[in-house]
Amino acid sequence: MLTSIRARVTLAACAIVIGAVASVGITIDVLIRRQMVRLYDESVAMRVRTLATLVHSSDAMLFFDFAGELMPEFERAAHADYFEVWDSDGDVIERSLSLDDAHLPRTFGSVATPAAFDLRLPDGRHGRAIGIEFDASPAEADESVEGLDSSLHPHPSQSHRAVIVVASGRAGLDDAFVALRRVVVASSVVASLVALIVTAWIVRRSMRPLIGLARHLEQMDAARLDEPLARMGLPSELIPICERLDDLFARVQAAFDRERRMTANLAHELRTPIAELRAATDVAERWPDDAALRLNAIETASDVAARMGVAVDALLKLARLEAGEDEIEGDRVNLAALFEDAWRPLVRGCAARELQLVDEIPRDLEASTDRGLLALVVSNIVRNAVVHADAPGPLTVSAEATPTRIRWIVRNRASRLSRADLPYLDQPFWQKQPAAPRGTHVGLGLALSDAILRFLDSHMEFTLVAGELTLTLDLPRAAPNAGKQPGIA
Amino acid sequence: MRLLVVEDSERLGETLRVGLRKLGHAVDVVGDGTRGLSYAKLNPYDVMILDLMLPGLDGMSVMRSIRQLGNSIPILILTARDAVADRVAGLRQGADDYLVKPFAFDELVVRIEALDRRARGTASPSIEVGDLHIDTGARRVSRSGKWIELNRREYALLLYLAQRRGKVVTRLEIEDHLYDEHHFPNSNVVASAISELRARLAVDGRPDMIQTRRGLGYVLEAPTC
Repeated sequence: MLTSIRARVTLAACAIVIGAVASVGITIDVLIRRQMVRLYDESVAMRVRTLATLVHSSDAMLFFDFAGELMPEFERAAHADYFEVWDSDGDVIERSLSLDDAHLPRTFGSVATPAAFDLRLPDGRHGRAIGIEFDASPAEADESVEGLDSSLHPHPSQSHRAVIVVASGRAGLDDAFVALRRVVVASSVVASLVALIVTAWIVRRSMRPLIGLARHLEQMDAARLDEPLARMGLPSELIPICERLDDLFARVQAAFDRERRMTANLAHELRTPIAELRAATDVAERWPDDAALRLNAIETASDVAARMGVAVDALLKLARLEAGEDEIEGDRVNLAALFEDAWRPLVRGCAARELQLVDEIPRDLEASTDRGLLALVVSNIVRNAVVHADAPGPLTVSAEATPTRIRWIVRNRASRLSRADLPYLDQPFWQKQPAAPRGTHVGLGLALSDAILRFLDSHMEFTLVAGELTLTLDLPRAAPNAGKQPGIA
Repeated sequence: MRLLVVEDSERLGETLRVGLRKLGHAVDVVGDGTRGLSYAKLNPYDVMILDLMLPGLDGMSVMRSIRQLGNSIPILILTARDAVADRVAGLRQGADDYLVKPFAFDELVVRIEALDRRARGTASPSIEVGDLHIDTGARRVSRSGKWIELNRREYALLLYLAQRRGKVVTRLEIEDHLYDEHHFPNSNVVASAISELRARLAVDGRPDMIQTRRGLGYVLEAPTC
């Protein structure tokens, strides 16, 4: 079974070409045969007409003025020709000596359209015969019956009409047919071979861009899917395919890069706590009698376990949200109260870093969203701001409202960031060099927040202007006239 | 040895401080690159252990600044970044060694010792001064074939003097290399430590190996008689 397009197209094209060549060959063979038969028949008909001119009529007599020495082919013993002449009643007037006791079929046409037919000659050869019915020409005055030579074979007849059939061997014609067929077959075979080669070459040449594209795809480095496919020399039919493939490969590569970056960052994020744990246990093991070192190892193990727990919880939360396993609640959430709850645990860290909080959130602004999930988002955002903001400096939180939406805004100085870093801020475990102090922070905060916001019909965006990073959180606003509830718990 | 550890993980820094001090080293630990650079400028450290990802000023920048100042202090990079490109970049920027987290504490210690030896131009882990033999690998000292028990401070002082045998070592140098920022020794502390070390080395009435050069400092050398 043919599996390649090239083989299929080549085979189909070759079959068509061979069929066409065979058809042409057969047509040529048939036409030439007909023409040869026609010419042969004409030559025999010419002789029939010649013999017919030798039949004369006079006074109810038909006589045949034939001279054998002038037409010896009718009298020789081997490979002879034959003729037979009848009157209108079917009585034989004359026949060639070569017929001996045999007869020719009395089949005839008119002089204009003689009857031509194949037959078996008396000597067993295949032959061709022409028969016509004609009016015998009147005898000249000096050829009256009385004056006729007995060699003219006078024959009484009531009519002037006579029939003559001349037969001749067709071996030469058949030999010509065989030669013709050989030439046609040989020509067809040669033409078919040439056609096969040319077709295969054309198909190969036409398929080259497709084969080249397939080879390029086959040899593509799986690690560099973002390299665009070469379009030079590609036919117009393949360019849309290339463009689509490039687009898809770029997306796959981006997904791979994101996954690789997350894995690398996750591994890196886990290395430091593991190093802390290992160093603590190594040191405690080296001085096993030192109780302080044992205590330090235990405390380190506990701290590392807590941090790992935070990382695992965040990853699981992220996975559940992305799998659609967490349900969304619809609550009225007071943003000022929500922020105060998120801020409380960070007051000491903020003071230690000499960050000045500027809280400009309107007290009565309420969002319509899942309280627990939004609290997690706000907590993550604020914690990130406290950890990463340039210090000393201000950390400003504010909010703007339209009738249906709320824009919650956090601004801080971030001189280490560039605009190129902004797309990575919500990537899991992404860190800008140099890293921020770790503490219990793991690099999942903004990634988790981004994933949560997608499920809350919200989104966040970052802008960086003159070293100031602005995070804007877009939230659905609760209807102002709806029944009010206290702020978040 | 006096060591500077620049590590942003407080827990890891504290563990290294405790462990390395237990081995007799003076250890200063700082948590950001800016302070790391200023500490390296101000104090004569024997080896610097430097994390790459630091708040304030990253490790590479710290290292570049130190080298640009002409400071040839041996630097060991201790980082979570394990890519070959990171190692190559770190070593090219002037690091003398590169260790990836997590690491074995013993490996860190021997790498620090190897860096110190290399900086002093000695390859052997043992030091011979007359009949005094110091095995820095096993941290053992013997004189005339007899083992001498030393506490970590005495061992560090002896090692420091032995590494500079035949040369006058000032009290200030001893203070700089054997005491970290949390200890503020006075002249009596160094003199007292020298006195205690002399007593330890006085095996079977063998002559004193530590000579006092009045107004200059101390010299460790093989006795002439």
